[in-house]
Amino acid sequence: MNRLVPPLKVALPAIGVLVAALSLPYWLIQQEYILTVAIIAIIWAIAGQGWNVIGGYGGLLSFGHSVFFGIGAYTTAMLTIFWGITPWIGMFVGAALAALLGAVLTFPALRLKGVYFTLASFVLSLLFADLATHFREFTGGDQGLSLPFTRDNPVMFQFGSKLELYFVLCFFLAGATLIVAIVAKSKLGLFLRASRDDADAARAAGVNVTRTRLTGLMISAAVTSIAGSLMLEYLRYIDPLTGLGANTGFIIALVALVGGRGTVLGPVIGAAVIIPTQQILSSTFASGPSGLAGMAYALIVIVIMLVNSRGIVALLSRLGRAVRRLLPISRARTGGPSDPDEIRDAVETERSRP
Amino acid sequence: METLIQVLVSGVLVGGLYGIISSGLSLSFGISKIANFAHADFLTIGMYATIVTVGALGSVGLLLIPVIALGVGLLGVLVYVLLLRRSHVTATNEDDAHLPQIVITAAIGILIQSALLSLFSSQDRSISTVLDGSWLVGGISVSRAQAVAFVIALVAFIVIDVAVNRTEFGRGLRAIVDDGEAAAAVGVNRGRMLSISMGIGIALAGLAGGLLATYQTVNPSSGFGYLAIAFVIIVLGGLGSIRGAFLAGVLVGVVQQATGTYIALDMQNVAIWVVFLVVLLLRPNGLFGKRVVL
Repeated sequence: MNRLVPPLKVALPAIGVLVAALSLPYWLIQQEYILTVAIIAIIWAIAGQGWNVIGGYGGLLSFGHSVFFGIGAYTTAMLTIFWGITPWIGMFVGAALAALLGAVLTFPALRLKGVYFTLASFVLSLLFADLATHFREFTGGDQGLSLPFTRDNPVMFQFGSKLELYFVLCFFLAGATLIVAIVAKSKLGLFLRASRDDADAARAAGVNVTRTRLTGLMISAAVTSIAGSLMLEYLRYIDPLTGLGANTGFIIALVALVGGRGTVLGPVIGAAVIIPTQQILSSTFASGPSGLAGMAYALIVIVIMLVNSRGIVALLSRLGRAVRRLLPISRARTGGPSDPDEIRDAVETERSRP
Repeated sequence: METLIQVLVSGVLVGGLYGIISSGLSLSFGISKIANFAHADFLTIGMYATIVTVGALGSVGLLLIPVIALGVGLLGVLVYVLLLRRSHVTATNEDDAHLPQIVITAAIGILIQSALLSLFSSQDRSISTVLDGSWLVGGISVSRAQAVAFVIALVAFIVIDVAVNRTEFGRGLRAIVDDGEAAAAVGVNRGRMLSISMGIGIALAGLAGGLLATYQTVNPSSGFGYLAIAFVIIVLGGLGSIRGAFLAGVLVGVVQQATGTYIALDMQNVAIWVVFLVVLLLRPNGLFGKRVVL
């Protein structure tokens, strides 16, 4: 991949995420329960990072990434259960299969515009959930598949404690973030954004839109699939409701959208906001009527989309720019923005000024 | 043979309901271009409103289903005005408008489901009315509630179809579907039309919900199952075409019943999903596809 930026700068967000996540148990996470929430948030963040490649940078709003998530989970589960293959291999087999399906989806991704791609991906996720429910000899049907229990066996992805699992997951999250950062700063990222903003203009400028979306979808599918495998390893089971279907597809997209699509840290921030809110609210209101947590979570999404539809990261950077404008010192230092999204934001800010 | 007739009859009866759910979605989607992922959750509101009404008044409450539909429609207008209209105004291009709208409507769907969950719990509910039981017509059993629901759905569809195709108001709507800017330029009040079409579309979902509640058990996510079916139908019927949506609704009802009967009950939607994906890829303008018909 052709880098346009020095390697260290590319790796910086991933290192930041790794350090921050690894440090959490030493100051923030003091209860087993919070650790559980953090584990779930990390897994959705990884799935969201996968989504981010094609959904954020590529501009294809997919509600069907649960398909890739499920392929990862089910492949890993089947390989472990039927042949005793370690998840360390299984998850990459799953990722390869997901990437293959991602490649197939290039066809609709080229043909369908805007909302029609969203609809197709949504229906595809329902199709896979129905199929997984029906073919129960392979998938366990409604019940799903449960992994055999083996105590403290890292080779089989079984760790002695939740904390160990958490630390392992931190590295996966950093890996996913690194992949997104590399994509973002590479030619692929530039081409993805160009195809997103105006596919015809991109073609005219010599961008191979087909190959760009093909590569983007494959990377996106593979990363999300890994998240699915990790969810399986955490839960020790997978069923159509958790691994596939509309809700899972929504969550994956929402994590990235709320945080900030097409930004390296967006899905991480989105997951850090949405998942704990949802999880902690549902345990807070456990005594009250169920559904309150869902309402709060839906309201957060609505409010963020209304305030700034580009998500929390865009909101923060706009705030940051507003603060910087108030400080005369740093003004001279600021060079022009180089990133297309920054340029767009800068233009918008400029326009909105009286 | 008898099974086949039974399949056709139940398919058409349920298809009529799909027909109004989808022509409602088609109407709002055709005019406003908003892919409303909460459409089917408004249907669930209609279901619960009917259950509460019939629970309080008995079978007489069934007569209030049109009022319930109207109420659901007004709620839809409110949601549109408060949450969705803004993204129309601020967006620089159509794609920029789509994304927040889709996400917001999906979140509204979750909000409605959660609100119903906290009000009514996840327990399945049903009502018993004078419409329980079935008629035996030449060896074929026809559920009374389903038959009545189909007739009302058909009447509602005809009313909407006449309103859209034969009235001055409908001309304005069709003008917006053809070319929103031009319609606005010749004096069609676009903003009001958008609100009204959204309201009618969602009222049709509410009506379908009220009718479905007479013969189905209801829980907070009952309606959500109809969402994908409705999207499938409007794509098959040709986007923006309410007649196409109704016909495709009946067709989908029959296909679904046939798959459920002859292949496997839990596969009843698979055929529909596959047909949808194939049609979307090969004929993006729908089975009965002229460009945009209304």
